[in-house]
Amino acid sequence: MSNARFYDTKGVTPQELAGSVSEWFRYQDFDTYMYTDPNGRIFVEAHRQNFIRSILGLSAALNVVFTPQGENRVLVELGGALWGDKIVAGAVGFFLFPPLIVTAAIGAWQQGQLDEQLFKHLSDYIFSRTGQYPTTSMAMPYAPYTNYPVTPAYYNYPAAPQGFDQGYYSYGYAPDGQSPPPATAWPQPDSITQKASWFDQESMQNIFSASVSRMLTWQKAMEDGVINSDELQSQERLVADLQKQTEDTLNTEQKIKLAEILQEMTNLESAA
Amino acid sequence: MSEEYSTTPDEQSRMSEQINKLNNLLRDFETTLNDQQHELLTRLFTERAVLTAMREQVKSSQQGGAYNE
Repeated sequence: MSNARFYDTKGVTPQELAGSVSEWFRYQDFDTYMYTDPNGRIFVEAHRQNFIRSILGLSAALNVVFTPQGENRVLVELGGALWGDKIVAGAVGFFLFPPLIVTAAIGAWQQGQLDEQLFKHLSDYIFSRTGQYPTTSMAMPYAPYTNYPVTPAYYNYPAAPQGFDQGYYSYGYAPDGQSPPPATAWPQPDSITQKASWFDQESMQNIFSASVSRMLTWQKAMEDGVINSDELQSQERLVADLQKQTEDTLNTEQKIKLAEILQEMTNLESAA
Repeated sequence: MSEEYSTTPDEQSRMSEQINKLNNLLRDFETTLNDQQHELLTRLFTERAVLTAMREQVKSSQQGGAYNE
């Protein structure tokens, strides 16, 4: 699961919330399917995709899972096989056509927007039914969930308490009367001494395009969902400055190799 | 989504060759770099990928919001 929150539902049942989410998806032209498992968890699956979008990593698919947490409280998880895996989906396209992986970054950004819209819908729905906005808190994954897709691998998750199998703890207040484990501090940048390779160890592909969605320049430019000419020119200047700064550190042979690499990258991009 | 991304088997084969060539160049180049050079080049290549993604986004917007169906 890529995103999860605990909701104080103000008396609205998880079944009703799931139904409202299903309607919300259908209103946006998604196909939906809703079911309840033997443990009482309610699943809403939503799909809107076609083959080409799927290949490009742009297919929109989302599973929302409602897990009752006693009276007036529910854990809402957004996730699924496709959700949050845009980069992985993009990596598949990468084998065929490297520039396409950047579209996966765009897809990831779009799904992030959908993520927030869905949480807002839930809060608005509870307000419309009760006149009160719900209290929510981030649900943080326990140690077994180390593949949490937006968090670097070196982040140390707290271990789940004995016998606690939910997979998440509530950040900010205790779930089910238990004290939340303290958040582990992120390491300081200078404590990360290992030089990261340019290649993913599993796919053996270079990581540059797959890193786009994590770059501040990309996130800032995409804040409003539109790239304007100023942002494009600013990025062009940044790349040109970086190239000059880098070339100043290289010897002649390295400069020739860099020029060859940049030309190959341009060739691949122009093939798009 | 437009059909511009459709590729034939020949095109895919040619692209695979291009990808392999680029990756081999990068692998060789990476071994010649000191830490400072490696850091600068990592930033250069990633920001360059951001620039490419930005251009893709602009292009898709001009083509009528291909990503929004």
